[in-house]
Amino acid sequence: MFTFLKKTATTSLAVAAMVMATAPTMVAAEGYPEKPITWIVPDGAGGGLDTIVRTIYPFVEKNLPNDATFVLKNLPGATQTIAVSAVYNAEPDGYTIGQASVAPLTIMPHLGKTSYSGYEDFELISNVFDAAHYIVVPEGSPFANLEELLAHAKANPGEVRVGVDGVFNVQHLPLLNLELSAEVDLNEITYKSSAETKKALLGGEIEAGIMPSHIIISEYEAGTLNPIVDVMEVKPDYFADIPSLKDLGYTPSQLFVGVIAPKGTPSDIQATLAGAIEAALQEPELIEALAKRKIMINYNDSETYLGRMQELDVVNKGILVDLGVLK
Amino acid sequence: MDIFINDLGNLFTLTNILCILLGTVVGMVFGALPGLGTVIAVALLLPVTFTLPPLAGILMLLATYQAGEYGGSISAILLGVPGTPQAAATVIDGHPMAVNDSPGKALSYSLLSSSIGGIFGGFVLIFISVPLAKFALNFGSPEYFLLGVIGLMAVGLLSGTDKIKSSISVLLGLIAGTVGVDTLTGVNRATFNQPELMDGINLVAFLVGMFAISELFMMISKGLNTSYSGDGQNLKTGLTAKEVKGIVKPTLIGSLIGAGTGILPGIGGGASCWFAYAVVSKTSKNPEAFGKGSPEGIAAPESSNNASAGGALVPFLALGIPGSAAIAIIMGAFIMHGIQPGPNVFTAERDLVYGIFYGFILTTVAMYLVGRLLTPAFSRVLVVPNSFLVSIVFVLCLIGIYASKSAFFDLWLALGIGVVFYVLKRLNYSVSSVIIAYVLAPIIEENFRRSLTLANGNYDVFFSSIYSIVLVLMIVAALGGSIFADIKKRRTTTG
Repeated sequence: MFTFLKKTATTSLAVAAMVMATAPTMVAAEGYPEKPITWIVPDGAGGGLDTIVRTIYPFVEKNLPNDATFVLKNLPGATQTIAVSAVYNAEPDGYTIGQASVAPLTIMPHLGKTSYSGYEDFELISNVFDAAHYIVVPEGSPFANLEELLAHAKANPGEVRVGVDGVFNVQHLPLLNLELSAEVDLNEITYKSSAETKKALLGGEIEAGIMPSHIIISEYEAGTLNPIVDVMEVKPDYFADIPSLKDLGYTPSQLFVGVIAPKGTPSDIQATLAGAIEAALQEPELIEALAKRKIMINYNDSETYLGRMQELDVVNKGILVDLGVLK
Repeated sequence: MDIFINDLGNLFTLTNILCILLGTVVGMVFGALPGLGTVIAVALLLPVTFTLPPLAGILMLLATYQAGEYGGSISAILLGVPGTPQAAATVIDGHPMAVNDSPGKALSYSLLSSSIGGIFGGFVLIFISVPLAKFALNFGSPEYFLLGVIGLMAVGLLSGTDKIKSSISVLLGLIAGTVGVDTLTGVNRATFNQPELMDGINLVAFLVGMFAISELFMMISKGLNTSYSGDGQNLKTGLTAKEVKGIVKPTLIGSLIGAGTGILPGIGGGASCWFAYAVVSKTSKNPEAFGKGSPEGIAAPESSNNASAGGALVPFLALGIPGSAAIAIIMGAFIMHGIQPGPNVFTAERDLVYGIFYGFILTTVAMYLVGRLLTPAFSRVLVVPNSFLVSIVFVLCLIGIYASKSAFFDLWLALGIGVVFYVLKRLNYSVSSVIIAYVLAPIIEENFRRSLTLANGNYDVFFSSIYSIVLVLMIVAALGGSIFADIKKRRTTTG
């Protein structure tokens, strides 16, 4: 227990030293935070993303100076855009940050469904974790791999039914992109959630479906569902042998979730927050808690996070233009 | 039979029992508060489970879920305001009985049938969960569409004599159910550029507005210097053997229907209570008592919503498919402990699964005992003068709506809906027809369109499995039966 406390103290000191060394102007960050920081969560209480943030935030608190505390605010709905809009409208004083996935920042603005115009309207603090989504086929499927599925689809346009959990979202766009680049016509079937897609796959209603990796581990082990290709860039270690779209020569998509702040948040406060998040993600206790839940920690600093966002935004916009959704 | 002995020792630990009791009390109180409901109660207790052993944590959440299903009926009966969507059907007979006869008795009917429903769901879970989960997979999009249509036909059975008003109510519910981003095309429908409407009208705001806020307006318009039962009489909660016998049949029907719909992910308790109410009111020996405080009208929906809780655990544990919002949160507790629900959970986490099975029965027992203890206190609510009651309930409603999504927009929405439904109630429109149509609209629409997409536009999809054919035949039979009965009635009245 004491060694643990000591370790925490040293990490905080190290972080503080690092922050001081890297930030030339300490005006805003000095004494920061003076009051609780609001962390906006784009998910309802008890939801998947909510529980992840609730696991992480105490560790970030610990790594911030001045006995920092967070107040979590749940603003679910409208593909996270309600929460992201709340960050957009908040004062850029360092006392509001938000968790956001890529859909509200690189897809929804292009569809004209947001008050902000895109990721450029925010300060990207740091990325926290990545997710992988797989094209999955049920037990007894004639398709052992992506090539077989695409070959069959090419010969039989519109016949292979692939379930996704929404339209123009992080599952639908990569699928449409794959269809465009492989020149095949799949029948995309929209469900409301991954749970519904799973049910449809197990019930034989569809030939394939896109599912997040962490909810098909049990089925994969039992052999009832078989992931054949990762549509995202990052691969989890438990599916290391399964190829990704990138391995097969197609453009992968990306699904990463990070922390954002209102545009104009002082840069030294941003650095303080990023440093605390980075240090938190190195704490063994948090690493263990997230590993148990099959969350792939992937810390990116602000610059890398921004670079990935720009890259994905171009890809997603391109898909929407190719589809004729966006002029 | 070793499974019976194996785990009982693990089950009856002090931690487990305390957790179950805590969950039961929280669930019952939250269920009874309009707008707060089961989902919020489960979400609230979820962080507490992180520090507990897996079995204790999960049993606490299941106890909350179970007790919330009964708790919802408490305010439905006492105030005519369902605490949860699953208790909406309980209002129809529960509230009249509480006002005209005895609130204590109405609550006792609800508690007893809820407990029997819960035990029934538990037994379904223990004995046939794996085959049942596989069976449920046979119900695909076409079958869901047909089930939704059958549910809508049940509205016809529920509604009173005025068919035109009833049809208008159904249409209003269907329209309300289409608001939001269209699941299949991504187009905004009737959202008026409000992001808060993109996921549809918030069910909690809708329910609280139409039941609670409109009811508060009714109470105000009737005068505030009264109370429902001023003399404090008839608060006794005991039931005689004869009274218990009277609800055996509806409770069994309700339990069967509840467990049956519970195993179908996405249909759940909100619809099952109406299915149960419709079937029981149609097959009862005293159909004329329904709507005026029939014990059968309380027993049917209440047993069904608790049985559906057990049913909903079937696809969740056996297939890893959460069937309702509350179960999705309980799934979070599993994942948090590194347990993946799914086909392997029965072998990999054998002790845990059987602990949950028997613990589930235990949560029902806890619900009954805690319910017995709290019911007399709850039933005294109706002695409170309306001037106090209205303000307290109104504040609770506002808290409940805000807690569901932290959106101020929903408060105004609920107020607007409350005003509209106050007018509709005064004009004798059926509020229950609106809510059931609202619940069923997305099930019917999405599954209809999805079925046609699956079949590339071919309508044969609705006759492609034995299950869909049976469902179509049921629809035809119900339609034919009512037309035939109508013709017969007209002949006898004219000739």
